[in-house]
Amino acid sequence: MKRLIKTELKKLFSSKLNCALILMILVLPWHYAYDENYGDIRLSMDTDMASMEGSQLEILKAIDEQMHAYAGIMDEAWLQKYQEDGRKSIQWTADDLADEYNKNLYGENWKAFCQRAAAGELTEQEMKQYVDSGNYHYVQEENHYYFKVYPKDLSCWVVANSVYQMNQYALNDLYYFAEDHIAPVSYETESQAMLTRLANHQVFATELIDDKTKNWEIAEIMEKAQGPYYFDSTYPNDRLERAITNSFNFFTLLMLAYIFSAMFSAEHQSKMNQLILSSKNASSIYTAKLLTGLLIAIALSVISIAGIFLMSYLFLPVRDFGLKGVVSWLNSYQTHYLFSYGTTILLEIVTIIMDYCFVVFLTMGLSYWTKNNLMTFASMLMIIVLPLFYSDPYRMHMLFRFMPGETIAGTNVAKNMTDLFAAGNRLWFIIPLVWMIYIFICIGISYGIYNQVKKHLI
Amino acid sequence: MELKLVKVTKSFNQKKAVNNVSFQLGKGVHGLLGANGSGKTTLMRLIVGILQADQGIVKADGKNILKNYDTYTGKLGYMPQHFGYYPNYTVEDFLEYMAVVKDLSLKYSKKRIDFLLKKLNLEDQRKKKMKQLSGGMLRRVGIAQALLNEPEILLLDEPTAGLDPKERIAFRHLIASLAGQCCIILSTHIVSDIESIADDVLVMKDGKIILHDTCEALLEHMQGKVWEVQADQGIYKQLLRDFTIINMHKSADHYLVRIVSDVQPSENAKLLPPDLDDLYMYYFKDA
Repeated sequence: MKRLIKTELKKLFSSKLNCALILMILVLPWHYAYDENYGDIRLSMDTDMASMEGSQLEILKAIDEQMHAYAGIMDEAWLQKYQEDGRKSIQWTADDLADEYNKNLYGENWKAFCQRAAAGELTEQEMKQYVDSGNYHYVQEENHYYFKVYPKDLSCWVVANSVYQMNQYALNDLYYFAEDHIAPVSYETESQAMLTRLANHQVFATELIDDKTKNWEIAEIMEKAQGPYYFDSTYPNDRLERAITNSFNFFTLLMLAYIFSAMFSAEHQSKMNQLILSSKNASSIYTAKLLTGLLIAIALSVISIAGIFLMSYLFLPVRDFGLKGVVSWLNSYQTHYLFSYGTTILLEIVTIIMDYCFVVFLTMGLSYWTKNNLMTFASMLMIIVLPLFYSDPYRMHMLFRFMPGETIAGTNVAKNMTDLFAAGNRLWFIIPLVWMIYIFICIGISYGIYNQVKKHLI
Repeated sequence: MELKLVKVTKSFNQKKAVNNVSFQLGKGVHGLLGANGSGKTTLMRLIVGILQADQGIVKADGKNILKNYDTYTGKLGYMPQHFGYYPNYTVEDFLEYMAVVKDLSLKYSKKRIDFLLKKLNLEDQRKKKMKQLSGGMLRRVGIAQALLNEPEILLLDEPTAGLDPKERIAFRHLIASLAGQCCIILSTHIVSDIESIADDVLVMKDGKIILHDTCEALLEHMQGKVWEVQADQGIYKQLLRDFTIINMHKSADHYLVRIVSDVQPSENAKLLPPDLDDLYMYYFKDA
């Protein structure tokens, strides 16, 4: 069998196009993973007049280090310290602001302008002049205007924002309340009442931090953990999980389908099937073809995933896969379980491997029965791509959501399942159920081909 | 190895491509002669086992080949009419692949490939890609792959198509040299392919074996049916209309015409000793 598989591999790699496609299948996920998660991405904060930049990876590392400083059991003492540090970290003054950027927005005497605006001393004429210039980034409480201002050190602000508000993706703007009180406004909590408190200088930080820690993810984690919860930075875990989920898409599946569309039909089209079927090893060679497909599907998916793990190790190493977290894709699905990142990532990896295998077996099955590689590829194109564009939510859409083009984005299978059954606590049954269906179809295809070949008939 | 077909029938769309065929063959060269569409390829595929008969059995050494297929294919060499290959493979790669498919050991197959490449005068083409080979070279590679496992039954379907006269002669020598070792069935519609080397000939027409005998016996059967007529242009045109003309030689004032006919075509017709071309034309004049 080893020899037969070797000959099949040789046959596959004898085509330059196949080699190129296999290389692309490997490299594309690495490219996506690096480009979107580990590469030197410039984090920019757009202003009306200029933009400020920082290296995302450097910022992430800083966030991770700062979060890691809080590693330990998450209890009341932990929470208290965390909140105190949080309050301190967002006590900004006018000296922390970027002179150049703010001058561009509010003129040479920008500090005095913002100070007077906050104190309610701006004339109508001055406000009109400001608004007419096309700028309107401020929050208002009666005749008090708190203008949006920009910090000197973006990285420092992003780190503080991420660590103490647990939100790395939505950066809160800073507003000028007073010379010694530059603070963010969260749009989620923005209200007249909150603004009054914000303007009051003292309560703001406590309010905001309490709001973020008690009502959001930390509270949710503490509630779901059902016991002592060990806290540590999950940024590297989160980044790896995102890299695995977002780096695989239908392009790689299409390339796989192209490579394997000729697996059996080529024997028919080149009339080699007469020679193979009339040979002693006929059944074995067809089995070898199926095993070659399986081997390549597993190898390509595992190598691609391993590459992403290597990237994670090199750029932002995961400290502990056992850390639990509310994974982004489960946030809105009210799951009763708190998955560890290890479990989540494993679910995704297995789903991606299953998807690769499923596409390869489906392609080989079509290649065998249609005896035509073009027809096979066209059918696979429909199977993989069509569901992505079909939007009727009541009929075929439900089925389409479990097709490989959808589920290749690792966790989509879980999302789709929870959407359908509206019950996150059934995930343990449902995700393996999809795997089982995929495996069942693959075995069915293999059995069908083997059974036919055993008869040695053309 | 002895090959036996018992009342084998195969139909496609209710048309009987092979109709109630029975025969028994042993070692030696057996020519399967028939016009295009007479059912030769279907019969060959039935013997190979890649087509299943609607009725009847194909036996090798007394055993149903389909029930004993692995053993049977181990002793079988087959070169199909439309010989398939992988265009990007070199001759050597292709033969190595076929050796794997035939379950031959690495050591044995290397030796055997060297031997066959030499014997079939393909040594220089060893590293050439299959797609770069001429029709004749491809047929030789096809024969080489059929001989890889030293078959006891060798089935060659139209093996000389595309070969030039020199290659045909070389091919005949090769087949003749194998005749003592195995049962060779050589399917063709080219009489000269089998005339000199076949121990017996099976004549197939409309899915049936209409004749099966040695060349001599078949020619005996044709005695008194081959004529030579010397004719002017008018008589020649009439002969052309009424009889099966095998060949014609034109001289200055007359035509010398070879005719196959049950009756004497003209008064001056002289009887000639028959050959297989005459037999072929006698049976396939309408084909």
